[in-house]
Order: sequence, then structure tokens, then C-alpha cells
Amino acid sequence: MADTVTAPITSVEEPLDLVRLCLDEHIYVKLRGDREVRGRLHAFDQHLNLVLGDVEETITTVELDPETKEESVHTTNRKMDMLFVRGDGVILGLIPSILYTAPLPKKLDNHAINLFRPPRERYETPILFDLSKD
Amino acid sequence: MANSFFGFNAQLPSQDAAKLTDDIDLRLERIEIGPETEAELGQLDEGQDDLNDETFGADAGDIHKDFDFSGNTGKAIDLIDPVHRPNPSNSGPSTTQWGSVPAPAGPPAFVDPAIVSTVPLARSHGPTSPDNHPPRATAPPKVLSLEEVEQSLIQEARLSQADHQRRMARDQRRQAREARAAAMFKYNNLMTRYDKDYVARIQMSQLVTDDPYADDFYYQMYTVVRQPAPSPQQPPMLSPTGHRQFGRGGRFHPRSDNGMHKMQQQIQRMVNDAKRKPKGATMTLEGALGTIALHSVRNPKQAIQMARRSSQGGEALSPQTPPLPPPTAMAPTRTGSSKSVSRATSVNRRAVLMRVEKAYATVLKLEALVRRRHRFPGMPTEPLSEASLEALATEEAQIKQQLWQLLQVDSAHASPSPGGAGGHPHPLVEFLSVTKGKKLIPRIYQHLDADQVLRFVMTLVANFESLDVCRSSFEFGLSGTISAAITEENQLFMNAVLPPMVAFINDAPLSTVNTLLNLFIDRNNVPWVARSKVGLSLLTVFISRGEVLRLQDAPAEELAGFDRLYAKLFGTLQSYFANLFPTTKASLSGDLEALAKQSLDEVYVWQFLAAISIGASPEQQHILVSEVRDKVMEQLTLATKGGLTSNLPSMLIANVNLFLHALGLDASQLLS
Amino acid sequence: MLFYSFFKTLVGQTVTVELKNDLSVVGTLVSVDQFLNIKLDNIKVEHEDQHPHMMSVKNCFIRGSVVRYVHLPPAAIDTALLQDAARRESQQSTATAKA
Repeated sequence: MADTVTAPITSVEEPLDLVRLCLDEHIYVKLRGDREVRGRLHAFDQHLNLVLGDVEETITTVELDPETKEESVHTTNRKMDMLFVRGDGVILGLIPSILYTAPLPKKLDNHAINLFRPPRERYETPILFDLSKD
Repeated sequence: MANSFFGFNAQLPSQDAAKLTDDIDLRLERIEIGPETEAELGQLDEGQDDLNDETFGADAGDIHKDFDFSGNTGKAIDLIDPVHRPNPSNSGPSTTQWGSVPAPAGPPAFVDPAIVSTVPLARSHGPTSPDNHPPRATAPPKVLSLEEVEQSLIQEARLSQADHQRRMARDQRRQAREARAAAMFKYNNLMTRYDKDYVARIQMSQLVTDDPYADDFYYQMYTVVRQPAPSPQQPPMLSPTGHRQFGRGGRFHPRSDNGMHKMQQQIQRMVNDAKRKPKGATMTLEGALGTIALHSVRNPKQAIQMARRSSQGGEALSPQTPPLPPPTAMAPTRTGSSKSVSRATSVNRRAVLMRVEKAYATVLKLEALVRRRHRFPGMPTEPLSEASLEALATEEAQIKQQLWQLLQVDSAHASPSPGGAGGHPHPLVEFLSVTKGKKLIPRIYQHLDADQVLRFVMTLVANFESLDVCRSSFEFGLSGTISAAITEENQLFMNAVLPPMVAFINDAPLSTVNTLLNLFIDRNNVPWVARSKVGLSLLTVFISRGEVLRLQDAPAEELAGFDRLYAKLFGTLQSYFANLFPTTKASLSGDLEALAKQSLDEVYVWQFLAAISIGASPEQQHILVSEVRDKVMEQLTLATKGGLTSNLPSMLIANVNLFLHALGLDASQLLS
Repeated sequence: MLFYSFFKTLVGQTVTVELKNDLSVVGTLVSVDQFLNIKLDNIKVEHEDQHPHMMSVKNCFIRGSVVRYVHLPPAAIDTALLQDAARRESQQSTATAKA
């Protein structure tokens, strides 16, 4: 119908709609246990269970040297072809290059978008979802 | 309790007790009604009772007789002090007198304690009570002592009290239950059996959806898709999703470049034809290429000359530093254009993704509809009626229209102006700028009609240079490297977007090919676009289609038009032919094996050179040869002296031969 | 139901289930239910030396909630179809939420 085209396609109604936009896109997901994964999103559901492809996982560990009392941060990387991630471990999803209007950044981390508490002021385009609103 | 003391109702079943209480209450009411009614009757204003005759069927004067209880109350009226009449509790004497009244009446509950003892007596003589007394209730006093009886009676009284409370609670529950039931019962029989069946049918129809895959889509589809092999009589429309045609496993690689493969075969055929034909070209070539001595199979010396010439420089295989492909005049403009396009794309990226997702939703809807219409396995098997088929067809047409509009092919959006500042790319180009947009094209394409396909191809051709896959080649030109992501996008475009275009062009008459080629040359920065794999491949398709049609006796007028366009294209690309190779900047000093593999990917450039050589005039062939000579020699040197493993050398030589054969030459001439 | 549907297609495949306590179990997927509880056969525990008590276990039932990851064989997955299924699922849930 004509209205599907003329209607402005600018609003995202629900958080999961936003995740849907990321299907087949590279996303970054922060998990419990100081883990983070990057990969191409192939599937998700309302629990944020995910299937990711070409995954790279990073585990961050902080070790305290018992003698010098110095903390040292170590990261361990793993690559996996295809990974199911259970949703209860997902803390936030970072969706590069979708939600902000600035040119593509070199580092995605600075443009992290917290799925649960969107930092609205940081983006020119308001993120039109909010879990507190019902 | 005083009553139980007398042992009459100690073991009275609770129900009976309740009945008794009720009876007593009832009698009390009657007793009360008696005097009050009489009293009021005595004060009636009889003058207002005109209708009493009709109502009572008797003289109003006799009215008090209708209410008389066997005439006794009438007598009592005279005995009772009128002042005390309304309040019988104060009239001790009258109460005692009532006790002797033969009418079934007990004393009021509020009589003074002195006569309470009459209540059980009254009960025992009442019309209902005697039968309800269990016989053994009276027996115990004969056997047990008074104390024992009293004890047991007190105990029983307590028990009966608890029992009474339980009974009350139970009654309350029962009443509540009955009230609830009654509340529901009042709707009983509101609906007829027919109504109920009707509603049930509606509910059933909601359960039985059009799409039995609703909840289990992936599993159902997966099982269908991964079945061993589709039966031959199964029409191709039954493929659950359009992307199936790109092979199993959801990957686009196997069998994917069908169209491109066909095109390559076509070029190969044409090249072979050209080689086989002892056409006069050989003669003209001799003259044209005489200076570089490539003309004779029996002239190895000249070939060595070529090789010597290469080694003369000593650094023939060292990095070459040719100018960047876009003309210097164009380069700054294009850089600006590229940047602005890039920014615009990121601004709109979310909107684009939403549009693409909308298109996916529409395609899914359409495919579900197609599955329904074409009896995809797993669908309900009863045949569809004419009417519902028609309805489905209408719906399908509507969804197709929606899909077409989502592509926004007909958008009035102009392609970026030559300056490029602030110009947004065409919506179709935006659509193709995301991975999943490219992937969706084959699935959309099969739902387009001929007219829509033409408009789609024209729009794409006209806006080709703003495609991300063309930009990527420019970035490569700057940095000399190409990221895996960009390679993937390129591959995807080659496999998903280009094949439908190739198929269309390979079926098009020369007039259409001319129109498209003209559009391409007119609207795009050709040297720049030609540096991209997709751009050059498209040009190859145009040219080879033209050459094929030349052999098939296309109208002379159209052929002349094609020749003009060919000349224009050649002129535009002149001096850039060598730069069509992405690895031109590569060094031969590093990992030769890797370089060889990278070079193998350049087969599309050799194909283009072969295609453009076929229709080239001697002068044009001369230009071609001199421009890419170094590249030819580089490849041959790499093949022969690079110490390459397996069949890499032969594959490199085969690539070069694509071009050489089109000129009627062979690599062996140069290698000897 | 998307992931239930998805895992059903993987029955018979060899998968690695990584639990939240860092235990990784490789085995053949026997069955899965709607809670994504998982039954594995012919299992082998990674880093068996650290989990000697698991050495004699040949098959197991894993409660879905203790799973962190499941490593899957890419060849057994049709990613395009999976994405389509996810699209359908998300639209269905949106539709029912609005209804």
C-alpha cells in the first residue's frame, strides 16, 4: 500500500524491533562474567537468546600480584564459528552504526548503546524505546 | 444452656434444631401480627375503602373477621389493655393467657425468663417437633444418674455448639456457592446450541492458521529444504524462500555465480571463436603490432625481445606506481562525493535498515502466500476454492506492489550531481548498501514483472557509481588493501545482485543494451567504476552481449549505435587499462604464492580485456596491448619463475591467455 | 519457540555445551525441550583432569538455565532461513503484544 512508503520510517517501537534491525549485522554483546562477544547476528528471541556467527569472544580477567599488589588486566580471545548464547547472560547489546547520526566511528566502544538504559542525550536521534515505559 | 438441661434436644440433629428455630420464629411472627393487625384494623378509616368490596368480595365492615384467627384473637382484643397491645413483652398476664390459647402458638422469644421453660414444652407439642426427636434422647435419664446425665449433657451441649458453628460456616459456604451458581445460571440457555457451534467454529478457524509453520518455522522449513533432492516434477516455485536458489546451507557461494559463470563461458566461447577464425585480423594485427613484435608464431626472437625489454628495466616486477585511476581532474570531486555519500549513508543507516526489514517482512508474507497457493508440503490438503484462490491472487498482487514500492526504484531522487556535495544516494542504492539488502534482491527479483525489472536495472545502471561496492574499490586504490568485510560485500553483490542483471541483459535486444550502456557511460565515472570488480563485470556483460548480437545479425542501425558506444567507452578507458588490475600496486618481492593467488582473482579483468579486444579495431588492439603489456609479462614471469606450487602457474597463464587468445595470440609465444 | 525449533534441527549433531560454571561438555544432541533443557549422548568433558568426577558419565541432561553457550556446527545451520525465522518470531510477538 502507498502508506507503507509514505509513512516516515523513523521510529522504533520496541527494543526488540531494534534488535531485529541488527539481524545479519555485526553486533557487540556484553555478557556476565566479564565476557564480551562480537559476531554476526543470526537469531534472537524475547529473552535475548542469540545465535551469532563468526564470533570472537573476549574474556577479561584482573589478576592481583600478591607481592607488588599491582592489578594486571588480561584478556583472552577465542574464535567460534557459530554460537548460541543464552539470554540470561546478556547484559547489553551494542549495535554499531545504527543508532547514531554521526559519521562512523573508528572505535565502536565509544558508541556503545545500553539496551536497557539508553543514554539519550548522547544521540541526536532519540532512541525510541525505554523499558521503564509500558 | 437452659433448654438442653431438660435433655429434650441435646442430641437433636442440627437440621431439626434449625427447623425448630425457624418454626418458633414463624409462630412468633404470627402471634405478633395478630394483635397489631387487630389494633390497626380498629383504627381504619373506613370511608376511604370504596374498592374494598371488589378487593375482598365482602362488606368492608366485616373485614376484621377475615383476619381473625379462629375468632380467638377477636376475644383476646377485649382482654388486652389497648395501651400495651403493641408491646406484648410488657403484658405478663396476657402472655400467660396466650399460653392456653389452643392455636399453634408458642410464647414470644422475648418473654420474661420465668416462662422460658415453656419453649421446649411448646416444641415438644408443636406440629413438627415430636417426630424429630430421636427416641434415645429421652432414654438416658432412666439409666444414668442425674449428675452423669448433666455432665454428658453439658459436654454434648458444648459439642453441639461447636457443631452449630461448623454448620453455620458450612451453610454460609453453601449459600455463597449457590449464589455464585445462581449468578451464572441466570445466563443459562442464553445461547442456543447453534450459537455455541458457531462460536466454536470461529475459535477453531483461528487456531487453524493459514501458515502451519507459525510456531515452528525454522524446523519445518529446514526439514523441507534439506530433503535429499527435490522431485523433478516439483515446480521451482515451491522453493520455500527465494534465496534457496543460491544453494543450500544458506551460503551464497555454491552454485551462486551462475549468471557470472554463464557469462564467463560466453566470453570463452567468443574468444575461442575469435581464435579459430583465421580472420583478416591476423593480417591487420601484424601491421598494428609490428612494433612490439607479437605478430608471429614463428618469431621467438621477438618474444624474447619482449622479455628482454622487461628485464631491461631490471625492476619490471618491482612495484609500479601508475597514477590513480580517476583522472586528476575528476579525483578531488570524486573524493568529495565519496565522503558525502558515506556520511549520508550513515545518517540514514537506521532508516535504510528499517526499510530493508520491512521489505523482508513483506517478502516473508509473500512467500507464505505463495506456499499456500502452491500447496507447499505441510499445508492443509483440501483444495482451495475458486474464490479463495482469487482472493489469494489479489492479496499477492497487493503485497508485490508494496514490495516494489519499498525498493523505491521509481524515486525521483536524482543520482548524485557531478559535484556530489550533499547528494544522497538513490534509495535503491541505499537499499543495496546493507548486507541483507543485497541478499534480499534475488528473492524480490523473482516477484517483479518485466517492466519493473527493466526499471530496476536502469536505475541501478544509472546510479552504479554510488554503490558501496564501487566505493570500496576506490578506498582500495588509496590504501592498497581491501578488508575482509568489503571483499564479502563485493562477493555478495556479485552473487546476489549482479546475476539477475546479467540474466536480463543476456536476454535483451541490442536496442536495450545500447540504452543501458549509454546510461552507464553517461551517468557514471567510468574509469572509476571500472576499477571495481562489479563495475568491470557489468561492462564485460554489456560488451559481450553486444558482440553476441553482432554475430546474430542485429539491425545495422542498432549495431552502428553499439559501435559508437563501444568507441566512447574505449576512449574513456584509454590509458587506464593497466590500472584496472587491483594488484597493480603490489610488489613481486614478497610472498609470491600469495600474490599469485591474489592475481588469480583478477580473472574478471582478463575477461573484460578479452571481451573488449574482440570488437576492437587494430588501433584499439594496439593500444590495449601496449597498455597491459607489462601486466602480461608480470603474470607470465610470476607463473614461470615464481616457484609456485600446484596448478597456480597454469591458472595464471590461462588468465592471461583469455586476453591473448582474443587477439589471436598465445602465452607460449611469449614464453618460449 | 524459535530456539526450540532451531535446536530440534540440530538433533544428532555434535555440539559443545558450555555451562556457566565453565564446564564444557561435548556430545551428540539427543533432544531438547521448550525450556532449552538439553540431553547429550556420548559425552566428553573438556579438561577432563579438572573434572574427574565426570569421567565415567556417558550421557547427561543439562538444565537449560545453566547453559552459557552452545557451540554449533555451522554446516548444519541455514543462516538465511534462521534470520527469516527470527524475523517472523519477532513480528509474531509484536503482533500478540499489541493484540
